[in-house]
Amino acid sequence: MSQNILEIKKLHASVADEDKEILKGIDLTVNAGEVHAIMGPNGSGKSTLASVLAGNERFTVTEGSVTFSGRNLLEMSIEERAAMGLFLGFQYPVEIPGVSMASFLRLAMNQQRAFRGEEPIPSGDFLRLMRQKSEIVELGDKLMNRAVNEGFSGGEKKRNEIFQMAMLEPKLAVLDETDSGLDIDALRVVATGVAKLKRPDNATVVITHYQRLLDYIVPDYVHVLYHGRIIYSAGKELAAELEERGYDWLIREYGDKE
Amino acid sequence: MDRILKERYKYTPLGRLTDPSQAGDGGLTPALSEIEAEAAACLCRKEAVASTELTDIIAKAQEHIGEDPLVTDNMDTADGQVQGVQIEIPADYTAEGILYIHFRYPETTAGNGHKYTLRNSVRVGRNSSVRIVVYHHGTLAPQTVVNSLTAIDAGAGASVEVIEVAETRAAYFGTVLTSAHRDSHIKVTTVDLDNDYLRRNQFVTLNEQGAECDLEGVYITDRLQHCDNYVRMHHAVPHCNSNQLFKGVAEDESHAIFTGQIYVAKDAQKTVALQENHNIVLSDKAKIDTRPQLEIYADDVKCNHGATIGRLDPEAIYYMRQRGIGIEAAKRLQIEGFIDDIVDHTKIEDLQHLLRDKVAKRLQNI
Repeated sequence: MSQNILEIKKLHASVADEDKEILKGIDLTVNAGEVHAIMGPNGSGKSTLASVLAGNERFTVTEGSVTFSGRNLLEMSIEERAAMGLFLGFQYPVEIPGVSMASFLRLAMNQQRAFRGEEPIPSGDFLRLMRQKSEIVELGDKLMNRAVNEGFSGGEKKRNEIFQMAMLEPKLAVLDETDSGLDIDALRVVATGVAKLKRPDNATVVITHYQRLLDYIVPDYVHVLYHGRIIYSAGKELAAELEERGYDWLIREYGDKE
Repeated sequence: MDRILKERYKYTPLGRLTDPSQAGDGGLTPALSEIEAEAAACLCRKEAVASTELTDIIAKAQEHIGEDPLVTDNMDTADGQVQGVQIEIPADYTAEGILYIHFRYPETTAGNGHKYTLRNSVRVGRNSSVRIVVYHHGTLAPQTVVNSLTAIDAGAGASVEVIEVAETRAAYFGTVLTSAHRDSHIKVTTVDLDNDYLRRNQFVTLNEQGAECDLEGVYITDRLQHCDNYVRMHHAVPHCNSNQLFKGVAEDESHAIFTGQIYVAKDAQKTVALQENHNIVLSDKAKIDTRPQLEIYADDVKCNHGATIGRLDPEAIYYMRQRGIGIEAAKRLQIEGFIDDIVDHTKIEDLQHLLRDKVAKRLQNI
């Protein structure tokens, strides 16, 4: 049996300082080498799940547990989770004016390394790595000296997310609607980038609306999230079925039991 | 004080200029020849400008700024008690590299108030160009007072760039009187890193057509520091451009102020005058005041101004933390990014390194 990376049990979460519960008991197990797709209609809680895993302070976990590489994820700070190997690909990557991609990534890498008790990366190695990894997403050098995400097109921002993922080599990547707003070429680049980064010792959770991304990133499991719960899980064939039939048939059968 | 001066010094009373008891105790004695001025020899004389040499320039400036207490205090100080440098660039001369001038103030201890009066001039002949960095270093007690006056005169077609860094920990009062002639280009960048109490006036006169002036500035304040930058951009004639970009960061209970006056005379048609001031407050008790003041008497001009006061962007902090950057480092990185365009605009690599380093060190202690 392969190594367990993420174990979510009965996870409930609300918007901080509000009573509004969004996740209402999520159970999910992700093992090394696996790709999981989480699908579901708008407002079902997909992005909230990603945010809660990353530690976004806009949400409060009210119940349940999350174990990441054998440790209690919910006790860790945002940056600690990252250093432990959790990566979130943002649906809306944030612009940071005045901060170059190179200095941002170098600091990120070195802070992660420091946290793990490792030496900082030598400058030469860092630059070499940047060049190497930018090829994966066909970004080239042109974005490296620009400010983080500033003035990037929608496609460039998403490719930049995958580029950062390639640089940081996470154990678990959670990609939050990385495919939204991409034209078909950008989608291909992003998806094949993700596929190239797949290894037997890491795992990917892909949150998506559309089946088309899953043509490139073939999932081992597809889960349907609805009203804060995973109501149905199956193999990769489910994605195609959802594309054809929509969610209604599943919601009628498995949705809101209470 | 008349109404204009009251308005000009609304946020910054000048009591400490003459009466150090306002900052602590101890007398204020003029300090002599204690400042170390380091500068390349041939273009620069390490000797203060005699007050008589500036009479004309000041009389001309006074036509539109009136009498100013900082100027008066400086000019009333006997020449023998004034220090400074004189930079004279002949016509048709390109000064290579950067002319660095370091004013190193001796260390002082609390209760021992010194007053340093500096009087400098930068005269650049026609079609010449020069870049100057003036650095005020000090680990001074807050009772110490500096009153520095610099007169810049750019001849026709000249290009002058002055970068002034103030890191004195004392009460720093500065006046920059700038006069720009036909088709000249002047840029003054000020970097105020660590001063207990700072007030700087920049009075710029665009005297002849085609003159251009850029003023940029960064100020960082913390604890109970006070930092007040005041600009008066006087467009006297048509076809001149001016540009102001100032950025500030205020932490703790500090107070930072920016006033940007743009005056466009009746005949100064085709003026383009832009101004931006952006600020970040890091605490609930820090205070920022920003005052754009536009006085426009010509009707065919382009004048813009914009001012913002905001906080760090929590989304950007979250994004950086998600990549593994600790919260304090993420905040610092965002602040460095916020002011980086001004550092970047200096276009001098050595200086960019120096300033980035200085800013990073300064932020470590915030």
